[in-house]
Amino acid sequence: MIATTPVHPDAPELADYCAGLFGIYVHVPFCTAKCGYCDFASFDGMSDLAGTYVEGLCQEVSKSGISSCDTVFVGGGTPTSLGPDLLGKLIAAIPRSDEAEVTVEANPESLTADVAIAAAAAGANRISIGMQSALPHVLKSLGRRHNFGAVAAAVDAARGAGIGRLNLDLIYGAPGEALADWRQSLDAAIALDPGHISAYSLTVEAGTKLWRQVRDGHCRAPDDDSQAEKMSVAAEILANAGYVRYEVSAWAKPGEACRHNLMYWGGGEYRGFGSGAHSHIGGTRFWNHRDPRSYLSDLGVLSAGSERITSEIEVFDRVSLGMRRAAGVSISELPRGCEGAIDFLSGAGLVLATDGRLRPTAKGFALGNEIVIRLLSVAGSEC
Amino acid sequence: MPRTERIRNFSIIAHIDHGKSTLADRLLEITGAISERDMRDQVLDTMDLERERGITIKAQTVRIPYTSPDGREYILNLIDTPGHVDFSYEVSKSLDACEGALLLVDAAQGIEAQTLANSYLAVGAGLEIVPVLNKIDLPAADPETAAAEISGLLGIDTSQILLASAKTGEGVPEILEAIVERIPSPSGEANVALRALIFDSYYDQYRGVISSIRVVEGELRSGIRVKMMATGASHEAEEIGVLTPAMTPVKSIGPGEVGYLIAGIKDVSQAKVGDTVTLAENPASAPLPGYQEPKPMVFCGLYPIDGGDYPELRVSLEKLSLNDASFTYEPETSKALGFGFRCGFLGLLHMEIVKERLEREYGMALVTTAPTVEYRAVMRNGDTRVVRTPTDLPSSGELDAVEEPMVRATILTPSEYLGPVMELCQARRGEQERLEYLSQARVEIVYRLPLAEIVVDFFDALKSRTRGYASLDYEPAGHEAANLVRVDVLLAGDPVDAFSSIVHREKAYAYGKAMVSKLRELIPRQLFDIAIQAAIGGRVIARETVKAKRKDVLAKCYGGDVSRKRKLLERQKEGRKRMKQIGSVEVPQDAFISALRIDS
Ligand SMILES: Nc1nc2c(ncn2[C@@H]2O[C@H](COP(=O)(O)OP(=O)(O)OP(=O)(O)O)[C@@H](O)[C@H]2O)c(=O)[nH]1
Ligand code: SF4
Repeated sequence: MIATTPVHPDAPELADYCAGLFGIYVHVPFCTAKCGYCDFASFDGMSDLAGTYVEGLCQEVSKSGISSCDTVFVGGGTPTSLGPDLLGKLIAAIPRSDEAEVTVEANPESLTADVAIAAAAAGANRISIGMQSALPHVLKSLGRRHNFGAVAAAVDAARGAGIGRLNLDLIYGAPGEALADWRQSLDAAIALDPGHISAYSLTVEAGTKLWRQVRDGHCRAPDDDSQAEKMSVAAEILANAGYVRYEVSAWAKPGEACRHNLMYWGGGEYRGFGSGAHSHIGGTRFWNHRDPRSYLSDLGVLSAGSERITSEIEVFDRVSLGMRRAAGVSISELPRGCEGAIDFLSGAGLVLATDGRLRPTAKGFALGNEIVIRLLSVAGSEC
Repeated sequence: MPRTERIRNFSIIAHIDHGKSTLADRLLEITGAISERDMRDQVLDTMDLERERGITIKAQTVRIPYTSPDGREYILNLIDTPGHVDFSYEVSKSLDACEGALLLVDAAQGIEAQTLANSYLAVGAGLEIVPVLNKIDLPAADPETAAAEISGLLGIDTSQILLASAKTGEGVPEILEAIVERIPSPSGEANVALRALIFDSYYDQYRGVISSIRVVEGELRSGIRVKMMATGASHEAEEIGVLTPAMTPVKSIGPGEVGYLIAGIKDVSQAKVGDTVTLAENPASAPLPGYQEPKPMVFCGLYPIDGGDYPELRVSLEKLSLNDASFTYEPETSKALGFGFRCGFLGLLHMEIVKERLEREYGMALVTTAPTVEYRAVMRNGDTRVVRTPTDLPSSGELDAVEEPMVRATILTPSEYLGPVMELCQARRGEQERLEYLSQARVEIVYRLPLAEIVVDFFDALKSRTRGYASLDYEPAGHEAANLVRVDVLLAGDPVDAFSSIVHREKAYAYGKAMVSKLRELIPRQLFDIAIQAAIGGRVIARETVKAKRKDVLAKCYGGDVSRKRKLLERQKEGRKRMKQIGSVEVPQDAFISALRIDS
């Protein structure tokens, strides 16, 4: 961590600083089994491809001509399912500066001591663990295969390997999760004392197993009111434990905010490697084939799709991503003519306009779409 | 110019989906009137909307040259008729241009109420009816029962009923033969003053008004000056022709023939349907018997979602009315919706079609208010006022009585659904006038019903109670006094005039309750609690609340999600644009109509 970097997770200076970073995202598409709610580009039963995949990805990296970056995020899928050797090889292959933040996503059951040691040796300095819940019945209803003991063990493994920056991912709203269950999960996560906690509202994504279960009436989608309740419980409990909310779903202690994610929300540039990985460089977004086999057949030479960022899209992304952050957006960067919308949103208690910035309030975090739509539905928003 | 004895003018009377378009295609194909290459499926339905909804709205004609097996050459003019009750007026116009009609009935379904009503119209107009049972290729076809019903209803011998399949072509040559053998040729002198009936007129952006005409006597020649007998205006017959079905100019059109006329007319009211065309130089002494103009039966307000579009809406309505004389509009103002128009329609389908055309062809985003009928308010002082907007209903202190329009509705239903149908009519304040078994399996019931009770969802309710088997036809049957009140709706404490409705007092409470609970479903949760109330004369009779929403945000958004999540948000943003802002409340565009679809 460089000395000049602001440490307060919600500081505008930190948000602006991260927006200027260049990031690399690395995608590992393998999972041992597919979780019911998951719509990520992850696949089970493909692990025999792992060696070839890492090989191919390293080639894509070297062909890209990219020589350095400020943040690395190895995500998935389940990167830790690669095992120590492949994971180490993969992390080592990513060009980056010495101070770079290097995060690896991990599932509790596969973050073993040897994996953690290999990751650390290859340069990982931050680990994000998919804890999701502390309760067996909730984990089961989410279709996760670990228990809370595995989470504690994974945390120990990371720390044992010398990786001190940890995030725990939590999900609220699984079918059958009571409000008390949620409090218990939050308390359990806090007890492990990670520097960062993410708490996501369970979303029923089209095409997932959960979505089919809801469609067929086997379970109910979480309703917005109870989700709102759980979101505010999380905000309260985490704040009391010293975590600062710096984004809709992200809380961190000082110095522990995820720079890579702040880079995304600040509209920064990044290159994605691996199947399904997205990039944002030079006014264009482009992405690789989602299916690992198609990806391997051309290694990202021909992107599977791309999108030119017009000035309209630029404004849209700036507002919709930027207002996810506690730091909000500088008012001078908002679409022209949105004063009325700002007044309305302030009146409704969704935003605060201070020091030349527009920031979401606690209520505004929960109603972010409303903020975005109102700010962008004004005359001249297309400028 | 063909001799009249070789001309046959006919239309096809059929219920929706009984196969009229398919048969028309087959006739054109078998006679070679249209090459297979040009054969789009269902040639006659030309408007996009007609194609999509599978219904015929405007009459179309087509000229079919036909050589009979004995070598004689004929000209068959098929004059298409619309198949929906809203447009029965158009049917009678088309029938007046014919000497005969094919009565086309699906052999698996039997005859339906509107078809029957139109058949009676045709018989009344002196037309020869040629009954055809279609779809005999279907395993479910039951030609014997269908034939027995037709025979019983129309007094036609079953031996006269043809069997065909428009799909396979079976029986179609026999239909052609029956047309030339049974339908009389038109009569009419060629050497007398011209009298031609306008049976359809529509406005074409490039050519001006194009009229479909039937020459009754005399001869219409290209280039000659013609006179419209109702308006007295004269015009040059710039182009006359026949539809093959493409417009094909000809030099002259003689007695008994149908064709089109273009005379540089810019407005359909100058070439009114039912008017008689004669020669300016040598006019006929009397016009042909014309038509009664159809009166709009259903009214609603049309408002632009964006108030700034009002002038554009006016222009669009003007253009549209050039083409549709049966639709009326006049400016009106609503406190909730701003400036708009009160429009009159022949029925609900007509209303939906006009709205769709405005949205599709003219790109307008519109709010439609609840459809209403035309009430008569009889005042204490003896005056009578016409009420087409619920808010125009005078206060009860000034009122002596309110009269509502009535209809006589004929319903044909399989007898097993008789009970549910009668219950429905009773629930809609109907009074039974007649009940008759057509066969053991089917019943004809006639009810006297308030029009207001059937305009919104009666047909849907009828269909759902009879699994789609019942059919309906109705005709106006005067006005009648009833105990009617206005139910107002308040959103966040403010009355929204566009939601007001005139309802029978006995139903007002249930209506108000249903209305507010329906609105609670339709109005999305917003940033504040929204009270929805129903009230009669200031007294609240029902209340619901749309609770403020507490969460509306995407849980996650990372690098890979940006484009996809942007699309989600954009869709949500677009959806907002289709909301009408009423005070502090955003109301979905279709709430005004959907709220009314509360099935009893
Ligand atoms: N099996 C069978 N199907 C038929 C026959 N004639 C028509 N159909 C089918 O019945 C349906 C309705 O036919 P259309 O010709 O579109 O009906 P229509 O009476 O013109 O309907 P409108 O245009 O709405 O008045 C279509 O799916 C046709 O393919 C037939 O003789 N046999
Ligand atoms: S482990 Fe993560 S990426 Fe894999 S299926 Fe489960 S949620 Fe999806």
